[in-house]
Amino acid sequence: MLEVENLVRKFGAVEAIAGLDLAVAPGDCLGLIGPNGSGKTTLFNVVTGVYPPSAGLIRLDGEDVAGSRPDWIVNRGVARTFQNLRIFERMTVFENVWAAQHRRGDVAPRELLFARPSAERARRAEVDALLERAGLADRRDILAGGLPLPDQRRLELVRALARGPRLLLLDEPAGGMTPAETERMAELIRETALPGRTCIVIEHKMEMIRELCDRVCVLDFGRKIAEGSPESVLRDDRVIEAYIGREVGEDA
Amino acid sequence: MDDHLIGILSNIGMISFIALSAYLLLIVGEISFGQQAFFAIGAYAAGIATAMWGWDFWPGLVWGAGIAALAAVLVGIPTLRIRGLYFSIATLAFAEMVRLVFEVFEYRVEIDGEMVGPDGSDGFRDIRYIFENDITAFEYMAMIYALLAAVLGAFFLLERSRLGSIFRMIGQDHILAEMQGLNVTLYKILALCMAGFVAGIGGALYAHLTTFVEPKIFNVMLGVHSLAYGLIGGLGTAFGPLIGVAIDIGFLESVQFISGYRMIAFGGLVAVLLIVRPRGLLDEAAVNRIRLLLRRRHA
Repeated sequence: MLEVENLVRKFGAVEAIAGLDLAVAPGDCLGLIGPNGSGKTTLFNVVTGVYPPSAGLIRLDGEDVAGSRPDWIVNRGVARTFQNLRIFERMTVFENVWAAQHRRGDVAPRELLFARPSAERARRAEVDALLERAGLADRRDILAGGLPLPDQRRLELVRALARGPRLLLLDEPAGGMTPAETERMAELIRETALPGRTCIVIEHKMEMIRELCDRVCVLDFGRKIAEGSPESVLRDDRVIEAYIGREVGEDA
Repeated sequence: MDDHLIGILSNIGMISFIALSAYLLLIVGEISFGQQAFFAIGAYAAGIATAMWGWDFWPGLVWGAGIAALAAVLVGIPTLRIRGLYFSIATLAFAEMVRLVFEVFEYRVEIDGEMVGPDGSDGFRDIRYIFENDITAFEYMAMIYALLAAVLGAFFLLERSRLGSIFRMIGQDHILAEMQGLNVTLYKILALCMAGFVAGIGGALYAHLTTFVEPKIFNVMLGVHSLAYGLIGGLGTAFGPLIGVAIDIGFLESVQFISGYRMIAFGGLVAVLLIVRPRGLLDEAAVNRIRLLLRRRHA
């Protein structure tokens, strides 16, 4: 589904991604972990075209998309959420999800002005079903900027789902959530996002990674330092070292 | 209806077009200081069509608006990659350029023994279609408002459509809009084109109301005012800029004992509103509240 080869992205002299190889098979859910600044979010930004790569290949279903326009890339079936939450704050909760359908394949260009009533009714029902599933149905008509943080995260998730993506990139979907909210989010992802879809999840909360992902990839300083099942990776010394560092005196 | 009132109302109607034009660009998140250029292009093009080529009024008006829209697309293509302040400066520079071109633009033909046409800085006289065809001031005012109603209707249709939603998405977060698959630049050019068309209608109406246009009318103050109308009235609905126009032209400029202080009051109003209600009186939150109230009453 997604193949990344020898990917490099520099910001000035800093290599946020320093020669990364990564492959995700269709239907897989890959966990992406690593300390802050290890290049996880940068990877999402490069894959979706927000930043062009400095070097390397990105293939979506075998098609090279590196350096293409973001809208062109996401219209090939990629959707994402954002670590630092991006919602249309001055639009209602409903409109935020409805907005994800505007450039979907089933919406003909002329429907941007004059929608076919039957098709439009079905698409609006789909938005309402997603909101219902995310527990946002009773807030559908308030401006999204007024939602509390966990609701905004769930809104982002269902907005990404409304794009009908084949590849879904989730950037800290449980960021800033309490354990109970995290559990609820994991359940929502498992039931609505994973089936029939390829996913990459960035998350610091390991219980979530364990629950959702078949395979985990660990980044540090823009490089892959470990990859494997969640259990094996979390026991890996290099991973422990990257996260908590070495003890003083242990250095040998 | 007395002539003074008809004059004020006609003015409000005409200026509403350029206010709506600036409003549309505010919705897509761009501040244009140059909508007066499209107003000017519409005025000259429509005036040339009726006074020099003998066209009827309505084709002349559509022609003027069309040329303004075309000019907007041509401006949009080079400025499409720049955002924010840079876009604002580019539009300001373009508008001054247009004004200076009209200062030297001469295109005169002899009609019934008289020279007619734009004459550089002396302006363009004798756009007399309205008088030659015995249209009264009241009838012309009615024409202005019929057109305004049509354009407003189009705006309301737009606001309910996915395209209107796309414009608002781009105005709120263009990266997030791109992530919904939108070619932001393309939609911005479309908005610029539509805004140019609407400003061009206003210009065409203006030329035929006053029968005389000169380049200096289309200075930057016209553009700044049209921006301010949306910011005062609110960016949540197309009614917003109209409220702004009504406050400025209908009240500050037209009530005699206030008019001397117009610019002071207007400037103060803009400053206060930008602090208290940065997106105007009818901002998105207010419009959403009104919409919910109306829906509840229907239900």
